Amino acid sequence: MPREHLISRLRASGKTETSIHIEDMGATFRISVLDKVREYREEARECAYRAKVAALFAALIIDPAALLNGALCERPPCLTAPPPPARVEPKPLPALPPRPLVRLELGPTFVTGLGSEDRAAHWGGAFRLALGRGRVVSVLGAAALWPADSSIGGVRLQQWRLPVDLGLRATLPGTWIDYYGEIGLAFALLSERALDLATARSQTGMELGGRVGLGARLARRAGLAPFALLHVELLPDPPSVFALPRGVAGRTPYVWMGACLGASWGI
Amino acid sequence: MKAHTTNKRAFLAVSCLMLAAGCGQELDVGSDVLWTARFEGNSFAEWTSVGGSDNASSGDVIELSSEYAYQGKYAAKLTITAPSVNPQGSGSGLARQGNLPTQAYYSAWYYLPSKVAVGIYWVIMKFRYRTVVDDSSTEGELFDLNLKNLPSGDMSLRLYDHRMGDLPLDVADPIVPAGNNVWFQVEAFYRDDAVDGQLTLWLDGKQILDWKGPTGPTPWVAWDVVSVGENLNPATALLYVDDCAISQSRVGLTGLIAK
Repeated sequence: MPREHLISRLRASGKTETSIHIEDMGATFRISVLDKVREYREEARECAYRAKVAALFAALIIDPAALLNGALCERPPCLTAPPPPARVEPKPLPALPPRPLVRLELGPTFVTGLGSEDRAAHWGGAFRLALGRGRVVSVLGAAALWPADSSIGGVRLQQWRLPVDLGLRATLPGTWIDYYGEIGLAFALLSERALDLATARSQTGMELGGRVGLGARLARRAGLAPFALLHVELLPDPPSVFALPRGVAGRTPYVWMGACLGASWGI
Repeated sequence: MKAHTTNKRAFLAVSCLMLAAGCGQELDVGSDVLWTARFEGNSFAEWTSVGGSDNASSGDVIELSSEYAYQGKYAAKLTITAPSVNPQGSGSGLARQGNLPTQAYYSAWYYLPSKVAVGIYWVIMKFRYRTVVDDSSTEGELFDLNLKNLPSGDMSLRLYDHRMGDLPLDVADPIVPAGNNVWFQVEAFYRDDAVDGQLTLWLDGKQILDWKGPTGPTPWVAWDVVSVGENLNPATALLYVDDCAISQSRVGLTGLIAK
């Protein structure tokens, strides 16, 4: 701070006493400037240091604004103005990864037909493929089921089924669990082989109907997540089973119900 | 726009194809019917081609007829003349001899055009046995199912066991229809077993006998659909037979013996 500036600020203060007093008190020293007094401890009694401290104190009292202005500082000790507080930008929410484009689901499945005398319980594996990033995506499913014994109209049969379905899946995302519903067309190859007839034949037919499903999946955008799915297939006109001498023994189930538990992999 | 229309048509075509594929399918899984004789070939080949026979005694006739038929066009017409004095009896009929299962259901439809007074007997179905399978000289009679008269004038059934005489039916005096082109079905379950045999009879689907006991001593079985009588009035009696079948499960009234 230039001396002339300091003197002019002292005079302009309107005080009668404009001198600066430094009083040595041994391990401490006292500085008096414009009626402001401050005592510092400095046991080493180093004069140069005490002078710097006194000069700084005086400058702060006389013209603190000038002192804080770095442009006015010609020689040390200089105080630089504290840097302006950093502007705190509002933190953007962490961007969620996009929903997976492809979701593969695989798991063991259980399917049973309602209406048969001996309800056939088919076990097997199910595969589902959901395609799309939106909340409503297309879904394709298939299952490979073990044959199971059944009975229709007194005719004992071994039944084998290969169901395929195509439809839409609407997902309701949740914090922990994503729920979803499916609706679509169901198609299946159905093979029936008589077990007890004198002349037994194996015949394969086709089923066509509607399918609805309800599922839940651990809410993860990508990677593996467990899922559970219940579904019902409704067939308005299932194949009939014919055997002599009974004639038409009955129809294969109008309703198939199933459940699947497995892993869903979002890619 | 054109592509959209094409896609729509393709979708409709695929949907129709899938719907057609799923509609009205019938899965024919097989048959329990082992053998049938429907006479629609206007011959007895269904019997004779499998080791069976068609026979008529002198003066009696067995022929194919289109006068009456239970289903289709033809039936077998059995005409016998059984006067009061004829110790050998009269008869005509069809037989399956051997190569039959040891247990099966035997079904035949009959039409009796008019009531006949039965003086001694009138057999319409028989089961026979052999004591030695390959020796025809060891053949013997086992069960005869007869027509009989009731005091009411109706006709009924009677079962005769050649070893012990008449076997009473569980349903006494079941009525057998006669005339008016009303056919009746007789179905028998016969198990051939020297110890644990069985004969169960149904008339028009109603069980009238369930008998268990020894039947044939060997696995050889003969089943005859016949008209064999003695002392009938009128002496000439007609009986039509159609849709005979041997099956591993019951044919019943509504059963089909051919597709």
